[in-house]
Amino acid sequence: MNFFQRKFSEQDIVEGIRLGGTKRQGFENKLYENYRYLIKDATYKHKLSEEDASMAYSDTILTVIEHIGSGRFEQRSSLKTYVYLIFYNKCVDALRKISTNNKMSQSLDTVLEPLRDPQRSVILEIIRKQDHEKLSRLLKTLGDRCQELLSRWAEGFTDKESAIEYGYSSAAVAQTTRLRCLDKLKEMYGK
Amino acid sequence: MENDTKLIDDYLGGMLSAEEMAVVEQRIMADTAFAESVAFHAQAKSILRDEILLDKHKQWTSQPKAKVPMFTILSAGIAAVLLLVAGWWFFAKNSEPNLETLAQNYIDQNLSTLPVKMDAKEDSLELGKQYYNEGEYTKALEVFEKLNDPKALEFAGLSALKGKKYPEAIQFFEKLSQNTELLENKGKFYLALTYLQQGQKQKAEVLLEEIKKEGLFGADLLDFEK
Repeated sequence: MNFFQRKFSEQDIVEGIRLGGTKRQGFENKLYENYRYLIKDATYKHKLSEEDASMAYSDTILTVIEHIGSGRFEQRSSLKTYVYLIFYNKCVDALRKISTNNKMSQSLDTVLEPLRDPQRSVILEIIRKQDHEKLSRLLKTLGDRCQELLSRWAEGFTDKESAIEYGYSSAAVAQTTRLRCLDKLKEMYGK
Repeated sequence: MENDTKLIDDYLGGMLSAEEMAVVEQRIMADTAFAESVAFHAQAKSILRDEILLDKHKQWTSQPKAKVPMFTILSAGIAAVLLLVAGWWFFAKNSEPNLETLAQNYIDQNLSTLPVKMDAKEDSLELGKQYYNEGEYTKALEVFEKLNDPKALEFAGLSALKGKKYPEAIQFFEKLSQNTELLENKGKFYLALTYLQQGQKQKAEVLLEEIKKEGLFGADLLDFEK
């Protein structure tokens, strides 16, 4: 009999994050801990400071969690290889930002990942002109449920997971509610 | 505006087909108002993700690092470890834990804390979670009982379970398991755990078999033969 007992292999971590619920955070922590040694590697290989390498690693783990949750990580490579490749790119991004003194949001590269270069340039140009401070401030004035739904979305939770968390009848209902929050935010920003 | 918001959401989420992507890409280049909406959507997500990243970074970097033992200490300890492992293997092989112990282990390892949002305001659900995480199960139960929400019902059941109020926990979990509108219902699994805590092994086993057969929450943890 093998009941309630699990060993934490790469597969367990992936499934634990996909299943969500109360155990997800524990599996996220295990994922972070598993490849933490990469931070030290990056300080030698990329000549990044410990702090920059550590932030690039946290960004990597958050990205990998998002990809696992959304199904984008298809397990064609091992989890270790996947983490390593994303971390390598994050380190290169960090070096580029340092050398060009780019002060834009750390997460913008990740958010704009699905865009091709011409569209990306257009969007980045508009974002440079947007009032970042005002938008940050307005986000905090939204109602609690809106703030929670939007935070979960930015953290990479799927609408299905939010539907389960808040008792909505379907992922589509959770998405519609979340998008109404964004429309409300946009209306406030335009005033 | 609503339709555009959904289109943009699916675009940034990588959910569009190649044809739909091409249409959106064309609109970004030709329609300034649409491009501004895409930029707004992306900027909002990026600001929120930055905040989450900072929180996670702080939390992860404060985790204690797994220490690598010195080679010399390892060599000195190898013989003792081998003996311990052999002893443990022999013990484990001959004393498989019973269902009740495994259920208790599951409760201890997975249900001791409820996830609390780092920046959550103190609404009632969060207040209840705080009481729960501090071991104040009676207070937590009082808070969750007053809320009309499936999540609160689940947490009320867990508070009763942790507070050893098993008949109450059974009532909450039975009610939860009857809710057919939830995408994921933990009612039956928690009900089985409660029965095991009460020593009602037969009732628990019937439920666990149902969970496994129907692929309900907890099915992935079950690999048992009667």
